[in-house]
Amino acid sequence: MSQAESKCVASLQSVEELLTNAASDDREAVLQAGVSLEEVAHQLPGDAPGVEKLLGLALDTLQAVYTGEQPFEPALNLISEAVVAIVAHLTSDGEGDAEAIDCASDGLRKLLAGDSDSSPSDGEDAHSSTEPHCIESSIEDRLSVLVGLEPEDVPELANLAAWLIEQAESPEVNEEIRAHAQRAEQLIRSVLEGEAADPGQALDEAAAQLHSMTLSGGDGSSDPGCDDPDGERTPPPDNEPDGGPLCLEFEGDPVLIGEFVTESLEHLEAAEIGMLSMEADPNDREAINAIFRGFHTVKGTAGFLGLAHIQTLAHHAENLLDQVRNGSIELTGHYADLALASLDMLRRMLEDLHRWEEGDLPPPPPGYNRLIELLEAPEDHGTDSPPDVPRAQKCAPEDDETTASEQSAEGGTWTPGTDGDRRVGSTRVRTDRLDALINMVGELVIANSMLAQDEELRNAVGQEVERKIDQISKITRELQDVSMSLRMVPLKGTFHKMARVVRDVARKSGKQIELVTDGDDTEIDRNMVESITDPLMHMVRNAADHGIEPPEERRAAEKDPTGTITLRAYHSAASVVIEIADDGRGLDRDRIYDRAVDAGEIEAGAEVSDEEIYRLIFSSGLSTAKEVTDVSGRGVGMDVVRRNIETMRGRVDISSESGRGSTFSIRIPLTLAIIDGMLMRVGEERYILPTVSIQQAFRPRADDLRTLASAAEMVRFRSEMIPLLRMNDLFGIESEAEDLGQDIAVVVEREGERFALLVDELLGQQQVVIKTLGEGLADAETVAGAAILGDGSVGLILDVDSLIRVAQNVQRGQAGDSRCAV
Amino acid sequence: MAQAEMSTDSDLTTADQYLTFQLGAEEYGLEILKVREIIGMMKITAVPRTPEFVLGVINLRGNVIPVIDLRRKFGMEAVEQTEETCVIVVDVGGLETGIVVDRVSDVLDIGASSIQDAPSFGAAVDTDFILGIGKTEGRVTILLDIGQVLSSSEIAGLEEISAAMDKHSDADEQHPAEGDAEPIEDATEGE
Repeated sequence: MSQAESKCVASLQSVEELLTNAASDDREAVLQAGVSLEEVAHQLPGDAPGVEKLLGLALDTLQAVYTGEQPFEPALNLISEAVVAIVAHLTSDGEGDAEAIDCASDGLRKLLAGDSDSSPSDGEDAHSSTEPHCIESSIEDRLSVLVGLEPEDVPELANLAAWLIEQAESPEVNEEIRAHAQRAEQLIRSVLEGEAADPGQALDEAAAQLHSMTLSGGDGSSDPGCDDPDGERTPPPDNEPDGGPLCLEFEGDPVLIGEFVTESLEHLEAAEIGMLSMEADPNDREAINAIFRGFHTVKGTAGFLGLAHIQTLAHHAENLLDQVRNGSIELTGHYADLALASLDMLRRMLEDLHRWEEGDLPPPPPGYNRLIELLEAPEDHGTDSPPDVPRAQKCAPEDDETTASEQSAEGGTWTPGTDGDRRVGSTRVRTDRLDALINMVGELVIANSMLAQDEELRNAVGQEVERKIDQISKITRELQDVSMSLRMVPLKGTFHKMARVVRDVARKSGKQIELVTDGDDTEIDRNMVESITDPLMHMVRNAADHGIEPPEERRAAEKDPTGTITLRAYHSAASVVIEIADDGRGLDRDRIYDRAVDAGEIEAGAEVSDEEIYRLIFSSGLSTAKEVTDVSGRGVGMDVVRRNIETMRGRVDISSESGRGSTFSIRIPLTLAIIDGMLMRVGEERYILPTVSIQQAFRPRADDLRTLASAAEMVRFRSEMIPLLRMNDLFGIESEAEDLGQDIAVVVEREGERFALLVDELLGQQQVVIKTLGEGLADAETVAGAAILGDGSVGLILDVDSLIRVAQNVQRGQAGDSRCAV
Repeated sequence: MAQAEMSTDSDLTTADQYLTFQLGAEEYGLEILKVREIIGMMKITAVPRTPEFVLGVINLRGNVIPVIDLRRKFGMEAVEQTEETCVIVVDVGGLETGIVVDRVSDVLDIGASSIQDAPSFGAAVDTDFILGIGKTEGRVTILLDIGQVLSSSEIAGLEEISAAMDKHSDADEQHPAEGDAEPIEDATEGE
């Protein structure tokens, strides 16, 4: 038995196992089996037409099961039998098993033909007669084969050419088909005989001809080719693969497509990680295999679903990767760009596909054909020339051309800090169900606390019941923890995106940058992942672009020419901290200071702490000035970064040392769904203030207060006077205490400025689940949301930012009629 | 006429059912399919800096929903809360909102044939939020398009409409019946 054969046997056996164990609705297993079988079909030695035929039938059946045309039960059993028969054939070197093969073929054929008993049991020209659109689907089979073929695949091409001649000579086909068949056959022949100037293109044209055949065909009644000797691929009959960028009619199942897109995006992500680590270590076998696998699966599934454009591109990329795999090229420089460009293009196509609902398939994005051309002849462009590939990049919109011309040693490299390949089984759950579950658990927690805190109940019942209540409380708490953790996802994916950013910036600017990640398994709420990605990307790009110096400069400063950016994430209390540290030149304190003075942000000569200086790079006045970007190195959109992070109730701290680098630490809460809040009373109303925004609370004395002429009240806090906002006035609530003695001033901070909110009483700290106010009130100022309090009533969560803004407006409005004088 | 209406009642579906309620002297109707439930008054948490007709928010089994005062929305005088004051929870496009009314009266079957278009009052008075005027058994009910009511910021001149409407319907139909707008006062308190 040859090596190829034993490999086939191994895959077949795993398919058999897969099918036997597949649950009766496990379409994923079916899909996987299909992909494996397809692979086997590719590798099979071409000397056993019976086996190939049977494989084709098995694939057809799998497809029917996958699309729901066939029930799982009998079909999978029959396929298992077929697989067993093929294994038997392969292991016995083709002796004495023809019967089993025939028998299995018959079974499948009957199944596919439905209840009709007209399926002949044997013979080349067998089951076709009952299928009216057999010719069409068999052309499609050929077409999908052709799309996957290379000019070197001589036997397959010859096969195809022979079949086309047969078609052209068949009396049943119409003129149009005949013409297309002849043309396609000529094209293939020219490739086979080495006459075609551009064999790849000739094959594409042949594919276009075949495609035209499917369009004009469908009326042929007898098709000898239906017993497809090389029908590895079985696209659904309702699609039309094509070589060119046409809009295609397509009636796929949106659910299938959706699953395909999600899965493929994951595969591509894995492949991207692989590519980036390949650049660091071109000999990483593990990585190349992972990349190859990713593209291969995408290709296989796309073929299975009949997504020709995706399949074609994946196929070409796979060819490139195959060369990498067998060592003829290295995945660095130009080749890496090309591979990444293919990946981006695929990603873009998948995203287009995701938005697809029905009707025509989205056409391939611009640049598709060019990319295919490049992929067909990657070596033409040499390792050192810039690839002229339009980037279909979504994650890094500012960066859509690649002008790299460095040697492969340059560019970003990526060293994953934690090698997390521990696989835990997982299940996909719809987000709305998850949210509903979490909502319900939130309710349970409230209901539980109402029960547990009910004094009457506690007093009335004995210890036994009390213990049971405690038990329920404990379970509820654990349930809450678990349910909250369901929303948590590791930061790994986000960090991977950063690896790409670093790589692209490095490549573009000719720097050598290593990205080290640490703690990428730190989890945050999935709702926050998206919000954190943009600011993070911005900061990482800044660090790479402005923080890290070019190699010469680093050498001159006696630093390692390769700069390092460290991304580190860890949990700290109820927050997640993400640090972006670079060992570059650091923030230029003096320049920022000068700029800030120019911009009127600070007064010349003022004593300002480092922290305050660094904070200035977030101020919009500075960051929008272009010169600052050039001089101080940071700033474009930093105000946006800060705002994004503050929206998540997070904050950014900066530390920097000139010549040694800077560290930005983002501190965000673990989840947006629950906050730690301080419950406070104003008159009859109760409000919740997020604990993070509270700096301190104190009881002011009457002589701590000053009223300015402008009607603004100030209160002494430590040694400074800060504005005092009376909550009852602000909200128009009657409050018993104009008498200050009982009131509490809560000190909050907004954009570095402190304010004191005067409330009647602090009722204590508690964790609350944030609920929206409902869309009708979504724009209610000063309120960030609502929470159900322990007694079942609603408490409003205040938004410090808008509260102060509103208060300032009110005060300005009142400026004329001051309430009291100094 | 009344007989004719009665005879069509057998063909009526829930789509023709309206929950009627009172605000002052007028009877209004809501499509029953938009009504989620009717709950008694409960503690409403006021939301600062919202329009006057927004009373605040309540906790409806874990969901925080806004509650609006229909009297204030319609520019009517505020009244003391009574035992009959209640909150009708409506669902408009998946959005739940509570509306406070003086009293819930009835569920009426009103077939399409018994509904007149809202009279037009020119540009001065907006009647977009009125589905039509339902007339059954001598009762006149202003059928509200509650979605429109909730989405429009201000609704004024409603009293004008109802006053004009009474005349309108009297003239339109020689079927006065005793006290066509009034019997609502004695309507059953179907809660």
